[in-house]
Amino acid sequence: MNRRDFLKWMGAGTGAAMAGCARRDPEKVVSYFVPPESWVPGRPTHAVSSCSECPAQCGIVVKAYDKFEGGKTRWMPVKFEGAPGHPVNDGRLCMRGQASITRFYLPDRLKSPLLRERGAERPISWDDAFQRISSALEASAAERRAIVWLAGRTTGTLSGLLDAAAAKLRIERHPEYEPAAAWEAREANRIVFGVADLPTYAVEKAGFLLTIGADVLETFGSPVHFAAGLRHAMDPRPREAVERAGSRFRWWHVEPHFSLTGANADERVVVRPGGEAHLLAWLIRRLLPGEAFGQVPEVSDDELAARVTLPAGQVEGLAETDRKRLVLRKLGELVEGLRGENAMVVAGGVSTQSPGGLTAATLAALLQRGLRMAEKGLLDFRRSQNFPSLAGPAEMKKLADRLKGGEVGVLFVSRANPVANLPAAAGFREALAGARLRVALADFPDETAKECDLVLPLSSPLESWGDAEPRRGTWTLIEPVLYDSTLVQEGKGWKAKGREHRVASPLHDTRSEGDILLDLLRRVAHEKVAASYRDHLLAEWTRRGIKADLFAAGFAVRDPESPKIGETDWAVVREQLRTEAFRRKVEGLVLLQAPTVRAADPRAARLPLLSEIPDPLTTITWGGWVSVPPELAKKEGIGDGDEVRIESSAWTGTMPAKIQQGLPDGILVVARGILAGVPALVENVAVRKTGRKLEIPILSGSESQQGRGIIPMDARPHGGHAKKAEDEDNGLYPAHKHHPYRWAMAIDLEACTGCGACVAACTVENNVPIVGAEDHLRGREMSWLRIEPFYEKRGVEFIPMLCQHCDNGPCEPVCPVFAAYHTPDGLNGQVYNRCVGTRYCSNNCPYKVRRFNWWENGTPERQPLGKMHNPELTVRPRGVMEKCTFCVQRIRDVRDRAKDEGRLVKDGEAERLTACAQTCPTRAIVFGNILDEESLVYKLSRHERGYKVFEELNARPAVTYLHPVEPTS
Amino acid sequence: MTRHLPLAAIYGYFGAMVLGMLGLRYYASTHATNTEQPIPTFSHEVHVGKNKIACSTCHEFTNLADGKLARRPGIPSVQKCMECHIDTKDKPGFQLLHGFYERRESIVWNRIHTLPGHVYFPHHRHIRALAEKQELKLSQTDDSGYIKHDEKGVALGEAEGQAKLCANCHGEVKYMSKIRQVRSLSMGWCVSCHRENNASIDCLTCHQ
Repeated sequence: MNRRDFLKWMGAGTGAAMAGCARRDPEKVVSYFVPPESWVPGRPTHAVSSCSECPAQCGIVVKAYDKFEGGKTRWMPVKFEGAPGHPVNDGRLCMRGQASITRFYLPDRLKSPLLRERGAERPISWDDAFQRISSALEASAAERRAIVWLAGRTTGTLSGLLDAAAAKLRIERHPEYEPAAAWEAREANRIVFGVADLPTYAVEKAGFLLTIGADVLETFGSPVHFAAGLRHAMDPRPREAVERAGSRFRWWHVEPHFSLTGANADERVVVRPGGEAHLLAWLIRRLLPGEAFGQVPEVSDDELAARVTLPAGQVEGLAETDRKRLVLRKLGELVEGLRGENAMVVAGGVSTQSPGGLTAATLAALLQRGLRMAEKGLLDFRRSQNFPSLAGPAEMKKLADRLKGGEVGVLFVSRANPVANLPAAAGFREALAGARLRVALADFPDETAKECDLVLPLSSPLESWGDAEPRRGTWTLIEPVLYDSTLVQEGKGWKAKGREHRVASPLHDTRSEGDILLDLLRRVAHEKVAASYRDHLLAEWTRRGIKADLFAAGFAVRDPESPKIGETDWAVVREQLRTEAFRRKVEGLVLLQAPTVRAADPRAARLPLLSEIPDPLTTITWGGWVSVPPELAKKEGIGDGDEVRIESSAWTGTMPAKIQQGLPDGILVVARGILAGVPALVENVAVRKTGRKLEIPILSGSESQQGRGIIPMDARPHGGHAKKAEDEDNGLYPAHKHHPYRWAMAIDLEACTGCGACVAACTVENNVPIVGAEDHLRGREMSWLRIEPFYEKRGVEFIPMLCQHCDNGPCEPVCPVFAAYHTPDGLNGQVYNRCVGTRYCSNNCPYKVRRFNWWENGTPERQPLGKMHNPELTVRPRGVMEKCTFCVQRIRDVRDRAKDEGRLVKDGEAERLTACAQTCPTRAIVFGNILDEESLVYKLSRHERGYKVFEELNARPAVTYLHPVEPTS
Repeated sequence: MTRHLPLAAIYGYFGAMVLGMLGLRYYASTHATNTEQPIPTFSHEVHVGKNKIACSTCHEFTNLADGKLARRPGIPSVQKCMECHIDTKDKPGFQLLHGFYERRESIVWNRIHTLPGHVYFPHHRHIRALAEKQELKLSQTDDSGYIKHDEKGVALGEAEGQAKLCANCHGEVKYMSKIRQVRSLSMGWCVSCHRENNASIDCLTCHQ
C-alpha cells in the first residue's frame, strides 16, 4: 500500500466512523388527549382476562405498560399472572398459560380477512367477506344443504349468542371439537351417572388418590387446580413445608408409559395399553359388592398380571412367578387404599384414548359411583367443568361423511383445527372439499384455515370483550387490554368514561367472534341486534346479575342448579364390556402419542417459547424425538440422538431417539403435537436404527447426580445443618452485613412437581431471549432458571436451579471489573453495563446458572417478540453476562412502595414476589426477607429437611432446598 | 522541510480529529438539542417565567402535596392545556393546540431529558429527597392552580422554592423559551449528588 492509498483509506474510514455517530431518533413523550382512567405515568395497568391456551380457562390478570407503538400510545401486555382468588387457579398459571402471552405478538398472526381462490390467497375487506358468506348461505339454503358451525370450546355469553344466531340463521351448531378435553370421561359419565359433563375433581378433599392415565399435572382437566389440590391433600397447612409423615394421603398413578405425572406419584403401576380396563374390572370386583357390579366380568389374577406390572426398578431380575406375586401384593395395597376414607379415582389421558379406552373410562366411572365419590363431594357435578356438548370420534366421522356426501353447504370452523388433530385416516381434509363455502375463524393460519376459502381473523382476548364460564356458575370477565376510552363532555372539557365503556382496539384488522356473530345476524338475518358485542355482554351480565361482581373481582360465582344424577345405563355398560377392544390385547411394539406439559395439542407447537423451555423429563428443547425404553435401546443398539426408522401400518418415518429411563419396555413415546395426522396409539410398530446420528438439543449434562448429592437421597437428618452454616463465619473474607433486608428463597422439593411453570414465568418477566435450537446445541441456552431432572433408583427427582445469590459468591472475586458484586440486601448483583464479558464468573460458578449473550439479542431479527419486553429492565446487549436477579425489579417495586409509606416490606408482599414463586402451582417456591424472623422463608430455611446445594463449598447460598421425603410404604 | 510534510499532515489530521471530537462533545453538553417540537412556540419562559405557574400545576405527578407523586413526572394532557387555552386562539401555536384538541389527538413530543434503558430513575423519590433537604412544602397554589402572590405581585416563597428544586436537574426553565438539557445526566453527575446527600450508591439502586 502506498502513502496515497493509506491516506485515502484513512479518510474513508474516518468518514464511516463519523457517520455512525449520527443522533438517534429522539425518544417520544406523549400528551394524551385525555389520559386513560387511573393512568399514572410509568406504572403498569392490570386487566382481567381468561386464559385460552387449554380448555381449563384459568383466570388471569394481564400486566400492561403504555408503550409508544405505531404512532400512538397503547397499553401493551407484558405478563400474565393468575387471577388471585379465582376458583380454577387461584393466582397461579402453568407453563403454557405463562407462555401464551407470546401468542399475541407472534408475527404470523392473521391480520385481515383472507380469501382463497384457485389456490391463491388475498386479503379482502370485512364487507366483502360478509357479502360472500351471505350469498353462500342463501345458495346453500336454496339447495337445502345444511349450514354447520363447528367450534372449539365455547362457554359463557358467546355460547348463548351462538345458539341465538344458529336459530335465526338456520345454522346447525355441531358439538364442540376440543381434542384436549376428556371426551371419553364425559361419555362415561353420561352412561354411568346420567350426567353428560366432566365434574370438577375436588382432589384437595381426597384421602387417597388413584389416577389412571390422567395426566393431572400436565393437561388433564385443569392442571393448575389439580396441582394446588394435590399439595392441599398432601398437607393442608398453607404456611408450612409439606410433611408426609403424619398424612395418610397416598397417590397411585397407573399409566402405560412414563410421564411427568407418573414421576410425581407416590406409587406407579405400569399397564400395557388397553389393560387399564382389566385393572379397573379387577378392582371393581374386589371393592364393590352387589348384584349390579357383578355384571362386570371377573378378571383372573393371571389375566391381570399379564397386563399390569411395576416400574422396572422394582421388578428387575425377578422370575415371572415372583414378579406376579409382587405385582399382586402391591395391587392388594392399592385395594386397601381405595377402601380408605375419601378415596378418589380419576381416569383419562392416554388410558382412555387407547383401543378400549371408552370401556376403561366407563369402568372408572362405575368405580367412582360405587365408592360414592359424587356424594362425598369428590366429584362436583354441580360446579362441573361445563362441557354441555363435546364431539367424539363418532360425531366427527359423521360430519366428515356428511361433508363428503355434499350434505353440508357452508361450514364454519371456529377456534378448532380438526385437520391437524384428527388422524389423517379420518379424511377430514379431503371431506372439506364437499362444502360450497368453508369459513375459518382463527387467529393463526393453521392447517384447517389453510383448507378454507374464507379466513376471518379473530381478535386476541387481549383486544376484545368477552367472558368465560370455565365451570358451571363460575364466570370470568375478559376485558380488552388494548382499548380506546369513550370520552364524554364534562363542563368545558372531556372525560374518559368508566371501564365498561372502553372500546376494544385491536392491533390489526381483526374482530372478536361475538362481533362476527352479531354482524352475521345484522347483515344476513337483518335482525336488530346490539351495536357491539360489548353492549350485548353488558346486557347479558346485567340480566344475570353478575355485572357488579365481574367488574369488582374479575369473576363471579353463582350457585348453579345441581344436575340430577340418574340411573346407570347398564345395557350400554354391558355392551362396552363385550367389545372386541376390551377383550383383545394390544399387540407388538406400540407407538404412543402422549400429551406433555409443553404440548396439550398442536396449538401449543405454535409458541416458540414452549419449544425453548426444556421438556421436564428429557430436557430436550427444540424439535421432535421418540422416547425409547432402555431395554429396547440396548437390544437395538440405539443411543441418544440416533436416527431411527419407525414403520407401521399407520405411519412410517424417521426421528431422532432419546433413551427414556423409566419407560416400560414395548412402548415408544412421541410427545403430542409433533406427528400430525397419526392416531394416538399405533400397534405393531417396527423400529430400527438408520445409522445416522442426529443432534438433538438435550440441555441436561447428565441424567444422574454422579454422586454429588444435589438432591440428597438418603434422607439423612439435616437437623440444624443449614442453620449452622448460616450462623458461622468461616469465610476468607469478612461476612456481609445485611440491613434491613436479606432476600432469600426456600424451595420445597417435596412439593415441586417439575412442571416448569416457573421457567416460563421467569423468561417472560425478565426479557430472557429465545435463542433457538442452534444455540442450544452449542450449549448457549439463556434460561435463568432450569428444572434439572435426576434419575434415581426410586424414580426421577426434580430440582429448580437458579442463581443461589451466595453470600460468598464464587463469581464475585473473579470479576476483574466488579460487575458481579454483593448488594447490601443480600443479592448477588450483576451490573450489565459494567460487564466486559470475560466469563470468569460463569467459569467459577459451581451452580452453572450464569448466561452469556453471544448475540445482540434485543434486535428485532433475533427477537421478533421484542414488543413484549418488560420495560422495568433491559435486554442485555451482546458480550454481557446475565443471570437470575431474584426479580430485582419486583423487589424494588415493593421496597420503594414500602419506603414511600415509611415502613418495611411485609412478608405477605414478599412471599410470592418473584415471578417463579408467584406462579408456582404447589407453592413450592417461597421468597422473602430472612432477617424477618416471622417470615415464612425464615421458617422454611431452618426446616429440618433444609439443605444447601454444595454446602461444602461454603458459598453460603441464599436458596435453601427442602429435600424430598422418602416414601414410606 | 518537505521531508516533514507527511508527518505533519498525519499529526495535523489526527489532532484536528481529536479537537473536533472534543468540540462536538462540548457543544453537545451545553447546547443539547435543537429538536423540532410539534408546537414549536410552546414556551416554559412564558408559563413559568412570565406567568409564574408552579411546575406541578401542569406536571401533576410531581406534586408532593396531593399524594399523586409518581415514578415518572408525566406530560400534561391536551385537556390540561385547554383548561386555560380554550378561549385563546390568536397565535399560530394556539391554533396548533386547538387542532390537536379538535381532532382529539395526542401530542407526541420529542423527549429532551432522556435516560438510557438500564437506568431506574424514580422521579418522585428525588423530589421528596430534595424537598426534605430544602425544607420545602410544594405546590402551595391557589384554587386556579396559580402560585399565590403577595400584595406586590411577587410569587410566594414556596413556589419559588419549587422552581428552585426542579432547577437542580432541569435548569432554570423560566428562562428557556425552548426547553433544553443543561445537566449532563451522566452517571458521574448522578453519583456525585448521591454521595453529597448520603444517598445509596449501590449499583442496583439505579441500574436495572
